[in-house]
Amino acid sequence: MCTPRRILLLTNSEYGQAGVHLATGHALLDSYRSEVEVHLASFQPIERLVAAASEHATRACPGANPIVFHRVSGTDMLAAWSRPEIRLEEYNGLRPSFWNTPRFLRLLLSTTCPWTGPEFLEIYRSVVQILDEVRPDVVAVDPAFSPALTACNHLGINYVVLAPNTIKDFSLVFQPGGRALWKYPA
Amino acid sequence: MPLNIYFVLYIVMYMKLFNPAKPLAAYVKSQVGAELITLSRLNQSPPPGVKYLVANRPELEFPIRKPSHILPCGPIIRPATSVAESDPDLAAWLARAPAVYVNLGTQVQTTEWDALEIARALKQLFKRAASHKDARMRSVQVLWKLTRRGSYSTATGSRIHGILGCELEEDRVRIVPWLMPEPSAVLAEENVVCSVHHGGANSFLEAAR
Repeated sequence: MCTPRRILLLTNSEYGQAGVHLATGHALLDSYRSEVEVHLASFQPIERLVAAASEHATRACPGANPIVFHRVSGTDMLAAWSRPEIRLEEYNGLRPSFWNTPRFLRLLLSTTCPWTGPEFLEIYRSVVQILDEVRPDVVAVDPAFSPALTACNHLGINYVVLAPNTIKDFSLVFQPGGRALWKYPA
Repeated sequence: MPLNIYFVLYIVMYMKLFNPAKPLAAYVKSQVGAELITLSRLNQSPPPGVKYLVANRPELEFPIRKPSHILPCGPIIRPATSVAESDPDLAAWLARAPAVYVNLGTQVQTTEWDALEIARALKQLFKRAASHKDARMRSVQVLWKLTRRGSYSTATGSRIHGILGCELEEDRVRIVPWLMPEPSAVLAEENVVCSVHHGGANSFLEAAR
């Protein structure tokens, strides 16, 4: 009997990002049962949801191994984003217009990498440690999880980006002419 | 449309001129020797050999030229516990008639002002439905998951009750702060015929499925 393939899913803990990783984990267990080991690394807030998803998967897919959760140490993305200095609640309900764009976009553009240097490194090192412990055969990374992208890239690990986004979100720079400017909603 | 061009240009210029990630990139490089990879980098210059699995299908997308490193996988949604299992009372209610499901997501908080706008729109829905040629549609129901901003009520005497009072009394509208079943489970119910959401990718894809 061959050893199970190890798959490591690296994701932020916000449900909007993690949802596709949980779904993929379930699908892998459903298709491959005991032939795969699914590992999911994320921040503490999602630990219980992963346990519930694992329990659901092992119930629905007899023979499947449970999902192994690896806790990434450090500040999760939403906590980093919700700093008092940013005053997130001011943006809720703002309607985008010509005048408040700079303010609005500054927030939007900072959200995918809201961590300070030391926070980022704490997460980075934690991910490196998990990669070393798990030694996965396949790695999938949430595109908003910069520390993990940085780690995989630096270590020369073969990875795929696993995103809840649409095709359009990643394709704009590849569109001919100036279509990226006017054809698709910002 | 001009506003669209403005937004996109602003983003491009801002990223080029100010590059908000520059200090972080320098710090990471100096501490661990690694090149910072962020979402914008993934967008602008994909690392060679890396494939992007996206939760979408070309049929659901805007007409767009798809670069070869992007692999659409269709909506990626976890099987969720059915409504019948997680909330049998709600399942029975949904079985009664076609339903409109309003859920603006967990991050959007609705002020009373906006909630009243929605309530007025729903009132119009009920009025139109009353003379619908399909008899089933005449008893349409609305399931509204409302995350409030501010403390306002929907009980008797409130402004919202002033608009939707009849329907609330007849249990044709349910306004709840929380739902036990996940959105994809609610959408899987046969009677849920319409989904009103905030436009997030996940909501769009859950409804598309």
